[in-house]
Amino acid sequence: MVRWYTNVPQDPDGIPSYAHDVEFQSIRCWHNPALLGRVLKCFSRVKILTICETGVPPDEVRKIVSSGKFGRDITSLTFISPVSTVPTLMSLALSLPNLRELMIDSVVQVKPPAPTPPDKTWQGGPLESLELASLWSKELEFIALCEVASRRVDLSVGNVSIEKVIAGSSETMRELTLQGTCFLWNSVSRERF
Amino acid sequence: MVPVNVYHPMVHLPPLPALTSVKLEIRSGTLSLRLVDILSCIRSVPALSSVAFKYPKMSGVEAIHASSQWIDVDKSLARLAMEVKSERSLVVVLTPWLEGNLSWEKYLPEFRRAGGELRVGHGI
Repeated sequence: MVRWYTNVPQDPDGIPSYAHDVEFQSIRCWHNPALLGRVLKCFSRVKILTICETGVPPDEVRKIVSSGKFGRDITSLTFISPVSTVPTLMSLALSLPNLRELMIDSVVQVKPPAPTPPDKTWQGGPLESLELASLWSKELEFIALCEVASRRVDLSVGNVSIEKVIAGSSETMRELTLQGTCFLWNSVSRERF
Repeated sequence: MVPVNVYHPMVHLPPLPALTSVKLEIRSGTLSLRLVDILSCIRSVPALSSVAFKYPKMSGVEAIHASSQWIDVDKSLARLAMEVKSERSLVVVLTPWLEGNLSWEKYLPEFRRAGGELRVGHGI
């Protein structure tokens, strides 16, 4: 495997189209928001896309999704501390017809999640893996409304909305991992007379 | 007067007919209470084949004894073992250090009677 790094904002055209595994790292703010869409279009064969501590502007995602030409080969999508909102991230995820693995960890919100349900729900079969970590209740509820089911569900989130996410995968889920969620359950001892 | 633990889960899980594996990473709190709280929420799991526990080694483990909490852990595991419809029995996977310090086999009699197995694994 060959790995190299490029400064995307300064050299947006210096990207090989044949890259299969792409990670955006620490581009918290795009001075030119249109650059994200332009760069993503260069990766016509990407299969694994990771966006880490990088801005994902909603308007650009809207353009990318509406073009209908992006991400046909993407099977794995990972967001780690993206500067965005869950609705924006899910909009991108739902546009990927061959997505098999989705991970969202610690969204850095630029604004609170919209209370409205998603425009679109997941139309594909169950994912192989859905990993969610450090998300707020409303963010989990939004993901649940997207009707994403998965065979493997890994939750490391501290609010009761995990039950809605689990319910969405109740028929398909084979593996369930709960990490650090135990304070969601409480027990009360009492005496029976 | 019989002391009884009554569990009021904040999370209500639906039946999970395809579920084969549950992994629980418990980072804090009293191990037996945390286990029974979660296990009591899991129901209708006919395909379940393994339950794995992970617990931080350095935070200290409560002494296992025949407390009502551990009796409830045993009962919950026994209930899950009896729900299993496949020919293979339900396996509880323990981290090696946990198994070494605690006499699990002695304190999970109902689970064993229900056909459950205890194994030592290397965490989750």
